[in-house]
Amino acid sequence: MQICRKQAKMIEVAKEMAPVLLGRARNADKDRAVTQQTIDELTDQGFFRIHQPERYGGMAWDISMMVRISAELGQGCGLSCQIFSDLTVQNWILGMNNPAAQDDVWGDNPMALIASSAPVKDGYVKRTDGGLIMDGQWSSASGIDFADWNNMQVFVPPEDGEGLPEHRFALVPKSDYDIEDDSYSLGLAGTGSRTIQLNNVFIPEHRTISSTKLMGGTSPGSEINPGALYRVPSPTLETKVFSAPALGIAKGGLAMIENDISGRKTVGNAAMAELSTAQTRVSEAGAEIDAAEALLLKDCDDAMSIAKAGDIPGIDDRARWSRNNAFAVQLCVRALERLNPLVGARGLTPENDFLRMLRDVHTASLQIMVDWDTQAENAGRIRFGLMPLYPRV
Amino acid sequence: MADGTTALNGNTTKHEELVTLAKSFTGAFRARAADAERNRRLHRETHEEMLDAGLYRVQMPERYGGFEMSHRTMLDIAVEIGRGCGSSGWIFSNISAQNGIVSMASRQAQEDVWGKDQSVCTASSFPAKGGSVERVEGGLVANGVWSFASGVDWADWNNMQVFVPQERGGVAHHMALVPKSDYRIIDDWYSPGMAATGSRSIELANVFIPEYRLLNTADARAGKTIEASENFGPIFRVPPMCGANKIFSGPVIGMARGALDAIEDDLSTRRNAAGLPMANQTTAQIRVAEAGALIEAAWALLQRDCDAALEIGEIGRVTTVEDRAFWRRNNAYAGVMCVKAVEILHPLVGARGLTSESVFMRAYRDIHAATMQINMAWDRHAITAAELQLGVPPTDPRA
Repeated sequence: MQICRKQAKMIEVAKEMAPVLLGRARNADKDRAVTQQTIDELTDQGFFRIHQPERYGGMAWDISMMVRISAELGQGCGLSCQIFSDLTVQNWILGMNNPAAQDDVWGDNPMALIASSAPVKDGYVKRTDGGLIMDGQWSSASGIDFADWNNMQVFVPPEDGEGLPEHRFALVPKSDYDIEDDSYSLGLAGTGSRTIQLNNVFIPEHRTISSTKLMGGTSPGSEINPGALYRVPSPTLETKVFSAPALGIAKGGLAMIENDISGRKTVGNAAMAELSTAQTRVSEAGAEIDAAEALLLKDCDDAMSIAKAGDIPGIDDRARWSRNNAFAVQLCVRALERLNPLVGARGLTPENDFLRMLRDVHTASLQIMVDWDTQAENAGRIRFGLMPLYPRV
Repeated sequence: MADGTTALNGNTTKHEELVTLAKSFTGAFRARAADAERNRRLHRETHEEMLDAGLYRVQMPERYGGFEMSHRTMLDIAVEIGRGCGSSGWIFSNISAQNGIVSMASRQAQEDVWGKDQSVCTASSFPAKGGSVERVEGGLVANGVWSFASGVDWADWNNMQVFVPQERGGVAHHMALVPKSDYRIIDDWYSPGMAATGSRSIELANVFIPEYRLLNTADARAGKTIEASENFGPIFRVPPMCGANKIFSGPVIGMARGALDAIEDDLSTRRNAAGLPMANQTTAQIRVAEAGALIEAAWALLQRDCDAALEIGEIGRVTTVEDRAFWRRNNAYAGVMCVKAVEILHPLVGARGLTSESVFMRAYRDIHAATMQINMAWDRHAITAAELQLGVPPTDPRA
């Protein structure tokens, strides 16, 4: 994708914010939350609007912009970056949703933000007249503290009781749920697993959308939002919300090590920067991160050009993109693993920024959408013409 | 910022056309690969098909009927050709890249090569076995053996790498053009991989090379040769020794893809000793997925660097030592990733695949040979890039 001046400017702003976010990252990690100030600054700079439809004042930019901005923000604070990417991508998904749902969320408040969660614990849904009833607990709602709505993943039982449940997103306003502060993750603390409690909440049909309607080509929302973005298969490409922060975090980790060893001496008083072992670690990590970035951006561009040409990608492409996405995260994890020995025992302090980044990138890699085993096996099966084991490919 | 559209000089149609042409040769070249390997040279028709299709013109000046396309186009063509036959991909990119490098020499040198016949090809060589040059009035005199002249069978000229002694000591790296009447070919290419490139040595005895046929690569890198070459297009502003190193990585990606094709073809119908389809084995699926991801990431990385290089050429700025070092690092790393990919696939060949005809094993041999090229040497380029990254003066004089 060719970057316009406005986009280049926003990437520049993200770059400038990274050191500020880094300054707040230790506290965010300790408090398991980013500050309202951080969210306000991200809001004021327009970061959350990059994928929002133009009719609500958004920019409807290509998916690669989320990757490019995350690659900067994540260098400062993985947690802030994860919240940015999660909230931003929901604006894209809402742009593909039913026009009435878009008006419910943005009609009065075009700045409204949406988080998303999954029924990892006990979240149940049943069909009812004119919609769904949701009951129980949903988890993993990154950015929930700042969201006005939650676009919850639900698995709707089949109408006749036979076959597989239908995967849908269901939009719920924050007045309909309670948040339980139970997120104590080892990395990206505060993004992941706050639990959302719903008690027999009714969701009108128009606020739900089957993920089968989001698999590329015309979507319910593309009627009113003509951009190619709203014709890209979101269940495949939205997974960049997990890989993009990993990319930013890995870049941040590399920068930390570079700064550290540039001036450091070994116990034998040799310059660390002149040790070829340190040099090859730094180079290989750098090349891995560059390759991850190039791969992610290429897939974003491929998906966008297919949508722009009015075509719909097949399962081969979707499985390959999911595989590449997970592989890019693997490259980022490997890069930081490779750099880890350079920290040395002296770096083993609770304040160490690199070690936080290492925890963060490991945590990011555990998301199922970027889980290498899952995505690799699926992609391998599809290469051989077998049925996927993972339904959301 | 870089992407397909800027990278292609706005010429996406021509890019598509050339890549499609390249794809049309993949199958035929694959069918000839075993013979070519045995003969230690490509079939004449392989060379002629690429020549007639205009593939070698990808980086030639428009003045001589060339297309002035980006390194990205050259890379993508090499991948498609190399997918069928690694040696063919190698010859394609070596001859094409030399056309780009000859375009940086003086206008008079270009006239010598293409003035009468625009289809003339040029190979290159390196003084690995002790070829040397000395300064004389009006040029150089070359003596000895220059090796690795990939494409020498099809070339009318050789653009030799020479190290010219300097008055104040040390040497300066140049490219020096000599016509084929000035050298003798030595049949010494018996490599276990990429045998079909026929990358034989040439021997020169007291050959005079006039000044105007020399290209000082440091000057080219600094943009000082553009006026004399009269080629002002952006691709000619990309330094020859870092843009053109895609000569080597492009075919490597093609070889890795060819290896993956072979395994996928084989496994899609093969059953193991217990009669179970190999394709159903999770371990095989994961190997195929990881190899595929490695190759695609390597390719994306190189495409991105080609785009970035062209963008710098378009702005007309001179590349920095960091630009060049990171391109080289990534270029070598793409090779590392492709080697890893074929190593990951290798156990799937099984003992039954250990035949001299095995398409996979040829690609496997080829890729290990191709990554011996110094431009693909990870250790070397990893160190230089890290030195720059960590603020240590680079130890490689060519940085």
